[in-house]
Amino acid sequence: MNDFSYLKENDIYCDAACQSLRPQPVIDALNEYYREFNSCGERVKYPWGITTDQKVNATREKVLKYLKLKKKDYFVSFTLNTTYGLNLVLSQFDYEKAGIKKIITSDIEHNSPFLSTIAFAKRTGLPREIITRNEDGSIPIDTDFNHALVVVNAASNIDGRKLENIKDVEKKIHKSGGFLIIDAAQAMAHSKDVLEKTSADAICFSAHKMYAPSLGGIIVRRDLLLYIKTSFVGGGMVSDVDRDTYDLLSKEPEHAYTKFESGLQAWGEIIALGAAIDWLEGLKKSDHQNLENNYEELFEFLKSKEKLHVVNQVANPTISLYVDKNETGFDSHFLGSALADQGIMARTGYFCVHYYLDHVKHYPPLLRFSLGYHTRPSDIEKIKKALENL
Amino acid sequence: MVCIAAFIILIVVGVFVAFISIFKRDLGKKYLKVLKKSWHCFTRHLTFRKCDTSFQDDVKTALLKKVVLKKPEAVKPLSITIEVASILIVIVTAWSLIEGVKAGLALWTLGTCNVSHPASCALGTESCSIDEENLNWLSEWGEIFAAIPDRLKNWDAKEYLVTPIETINELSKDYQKSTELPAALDIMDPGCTVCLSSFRNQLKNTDFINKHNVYIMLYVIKNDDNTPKFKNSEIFTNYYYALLLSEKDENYRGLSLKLINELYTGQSKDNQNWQYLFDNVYDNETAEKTIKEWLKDWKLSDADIKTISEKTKSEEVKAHIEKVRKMVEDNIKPKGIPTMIYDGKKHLGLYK
Repeated sequence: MNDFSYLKENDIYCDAACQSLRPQPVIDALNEYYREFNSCGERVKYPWGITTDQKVNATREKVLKYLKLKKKDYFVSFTLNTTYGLNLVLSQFDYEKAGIKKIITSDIEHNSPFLSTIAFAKRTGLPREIITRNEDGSIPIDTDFNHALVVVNAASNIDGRKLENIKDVEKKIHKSGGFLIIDAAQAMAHSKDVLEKTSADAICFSAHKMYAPSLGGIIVRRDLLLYIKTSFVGGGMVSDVDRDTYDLLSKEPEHAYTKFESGLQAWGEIIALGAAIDWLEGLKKSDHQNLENNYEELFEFLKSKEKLHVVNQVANPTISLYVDKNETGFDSHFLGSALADQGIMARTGYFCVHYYLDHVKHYPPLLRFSLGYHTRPSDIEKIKKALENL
Repeated sequence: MVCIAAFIILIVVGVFVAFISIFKRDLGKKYLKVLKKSWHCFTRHLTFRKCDTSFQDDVKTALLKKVVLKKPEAVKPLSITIEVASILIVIVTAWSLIEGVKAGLALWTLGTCNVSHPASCALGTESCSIDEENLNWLSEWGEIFAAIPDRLKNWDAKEYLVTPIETINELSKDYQKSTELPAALDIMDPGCTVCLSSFRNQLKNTDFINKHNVYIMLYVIKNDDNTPKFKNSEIFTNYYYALLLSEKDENYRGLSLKLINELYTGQSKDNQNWQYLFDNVYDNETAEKTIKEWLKDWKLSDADIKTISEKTKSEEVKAHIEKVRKMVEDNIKPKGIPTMIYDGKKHLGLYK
């Protein structure tokens, strides 16, 4: 793909689940901000600042449009990353007012929701439940969601499995007096279909996993504001400040996003996220097909290798596997280092899913190939060649 | 084990890195970074804790990552080989360290780094071994530790004199006889070539000989079967002590010193060192005949020579020699000859 023409032939980047490569238009958009109208948003009247405000607001709208959500129902706030977003929401969530009796997460979660729900349970004294996700990523619909705050991912960073029954789940949660917060870190780039027209109460995501610069975001359902007790506060969030009091800007619906945006924001990165969404929306069918071909071919190849134990049930852009040290004399870290020597950059370890991979499944450290739109068919050939003797 | 072995190798490599770092500073920085990691891992192992870094795996990965993709089946045996090699490196290093400490301690306490075969120690001064015996490893340690109090004590030569009659100082022209001078004791075997060199060196170093009263103690080194290590040492020693114990008689005064001086510094008509001839050429009979010829040259009458010859077999001389033997073996306990006592210390080997 031309938008990644800067990628050298021998650099085979397979860690898109951690941070996707940025296509040229995104890099250009960021550079443009720094070179053409570098300015503080939301507080200045000079032309550069006005341009920044316009482009930032456009990005907020693009995020909603990307997931087919309505502005009257949702707003978008920017943060540092998914973890930061989840913690911002959970730490300020007024569970008593919301009538929450327990917090639920699932077994295949990234540390991001896993740890923040532990912290939430410790802070509130509420019980915490861990549900076992089905093989296809769906949540057992017979789960008791009564007055539960549910925090789960929409796509796994282990094997890309999706929360296929999200619509049924959100309906049941809301009917049971519960709330749903989605970790959309892995879903936003390659599985946004599950999130489209969602009714979740908050969707936290990382722009850097969706071809944009390093940035986090929270898509918040406006009703949720009723249950947010502001405790993390700063500049950009207030309309007036007295000696011991302040007025929050978020009271005004058009400024609701300020509820989670304390201090100066990463304007350039937000604007470049807009460019990333434009770029994603503009991808051709052949680009999607190319990605699909690449991960399917790699999946089939890896599955055919006796010494490589593939964790995925189905092919996805994210494919995890492990090698048995007792069988081979080496582990995934070792294999990862050997691949790195060949220019193949793949992640090793537990990818921040220690509970499930290590304590539930008792897997040894894993090796993960996470592909993206930047992946070339020749990359897959090189990976296959490198691993052919295994 | 890989971690400890790597630390050992890094320490060895460090010597070269330190030198190269003078020209390439970055290399030194990189090396120190790895060494720190290795040291952390090493100290954890030493305190019986698991290494909490990936250093061990990093080492193996660095060594085998080229193999894993080309010949994955070779990784397991190579990995085992690395483990075994690491164990060997650690054992060999630990053993070397223990042996090094042992040798150093033995050198300090006994004057030789080889307890069983003292003369074989290249680090010690030259000497003729006294008790070459094949001690086991633990007995060697025992001997080293037993010698520590001796090494620490203040040695006064006067306490060990059996025959405080004569000093070799008379051989020095500038020597001013004085009882005020500190005593030095020189234990020698007439046949020991190192003793010859030591004796000559003392005579050369007038600074030493003029500031000490140096007493000679002849001690015959014996083999396991109780025969003298140097075949004519016993005959010579008998004559030496027979003359020494006859010093009261004007006729014999100074002759014992003359005798040892002749053996160590004199030569035969065909320019051969007497000691060489006594050790390698002369049988007992010829050796005794030669001594008698010297005595004759020193103006002793045939009757006086006969008297001395008979005295060599006397109970008095035998008892005296036994007294010397006991003093050497029980009190001074040298590992080799020559051994000297002066300046508060016991010195093994050649006087330089």
